[in-house]
Amino acid sequence: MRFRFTGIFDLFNQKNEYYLINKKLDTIIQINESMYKVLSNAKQGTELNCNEINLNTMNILIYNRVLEAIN
Amino acid sequence: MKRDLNKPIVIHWCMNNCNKQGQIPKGVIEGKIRQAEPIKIRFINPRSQEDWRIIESFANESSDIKEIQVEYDFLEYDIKHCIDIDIEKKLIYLVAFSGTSYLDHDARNRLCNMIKKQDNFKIIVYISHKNIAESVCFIQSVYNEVKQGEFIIKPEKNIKNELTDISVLHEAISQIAELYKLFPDIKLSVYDEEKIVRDIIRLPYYMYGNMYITGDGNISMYSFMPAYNYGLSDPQVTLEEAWRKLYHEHATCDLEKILEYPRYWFKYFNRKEIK
Repeated sequence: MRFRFTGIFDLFNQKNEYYLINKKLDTIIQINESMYKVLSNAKQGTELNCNEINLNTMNILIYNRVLEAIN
Repeated sequence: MKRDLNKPIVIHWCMNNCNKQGQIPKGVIEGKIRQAEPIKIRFINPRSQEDWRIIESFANESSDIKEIQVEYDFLEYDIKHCIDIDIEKKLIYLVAFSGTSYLDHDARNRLCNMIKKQDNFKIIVYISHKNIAESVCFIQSVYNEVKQGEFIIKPEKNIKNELTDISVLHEAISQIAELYKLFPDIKLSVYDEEKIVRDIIRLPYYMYGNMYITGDGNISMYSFMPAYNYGLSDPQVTLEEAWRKLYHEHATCDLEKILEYPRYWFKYFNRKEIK
C-alpha cells in the first residue's frame, strides 16, 4: 500500500525544532528530525516506505489524516 | 513525539478593542511577538493605519516566521488602500463575512477578483440561526462565479446563537450539504475550533503551542477560552513568560472545563457579558 501527505497539515522547521501543524486549526505537534524527513519526502511526493515508520505511529498519522492511502 | 513546548508557536492577535481605555500600546505587543519568533501569526481585525503598518513590517522582514495571515472584515477595507501590493502577495487572507453582509456590485467584483488573483484566499462565513439560508446563498453565488477560493463556515459566537440547539444545527448542516451536491469540487469546510480542540484534549499528541492576544492585551490559548491579564503592557514581561504562566495556571484546568459542556460554547455559558 502506498501513502501520500494529505496537505491538511504543514511541516515547519524552525532552528532545528520540527513541527507538524494542522493548517486550518493551528493545532501543533512537535516531531523529531527523522519523522520530519520522512514526512517532508511524503509531502514532496516521494513514495513512503512503510519500514521507515512503526505501525503505531503510522496508525496515528493516518487516523489524523496526516497521511492517506493511495488506491 | 514531545508533548511540551517551551514557547507559543502560533500566535493570534486580535488587534481591535472596543474599549479604547483598555487598549494596550500596539508597538509593545509588536515587539514582544517579534522577540518570541513564532512560526505563524494571524492578525485579526486590523482597524487602523498603525495595525496595517505592523502587518506590513512583519511581512517585510526576513525572519523565521513562516506564515502570516490576516483575518479582516472585507466590507471595512479595500486592501489596496491599506497595504503595498508587493506585501499583499506574501500574506494569506481570510476575509470574514456574516451571511447577511450586503455586497454591492463593486464590492462583489472586488471580492471575486481577489479570489481569482490569490492562490490562498479564504472566505470565512460566520453563521447563526438567523442567517443560514443567506450564508448558503452567498457562498453559492460567489463560488458559482469564481469556481475557486476556499470557504470556511464557522459558528458566530458573539451573539446568542441558537445553533447550540441540535435541531437548528442539523437544519444548517443539511442546507450547507446542498452546496457539496451542487459543486462537488468546492473547497468548503464547516468547523468549530472549540469542538475540535475539545475532541483532541485527551489525545497524547495534543500540544499547547497556541496563544491568543486580545485587543486589551490579555492572553488565552484560544479565542474561545477565557483570557487573563499577565501584564503584557509591562516592557519587562516577555510573551514566553506570560504564556508559560498561563499554561501552568490555567490551560489544563480551562481545557478540562470545556469537556463539561456538551455543545462547545464555553465562553457563552461562562461569560454573562456576551449578549
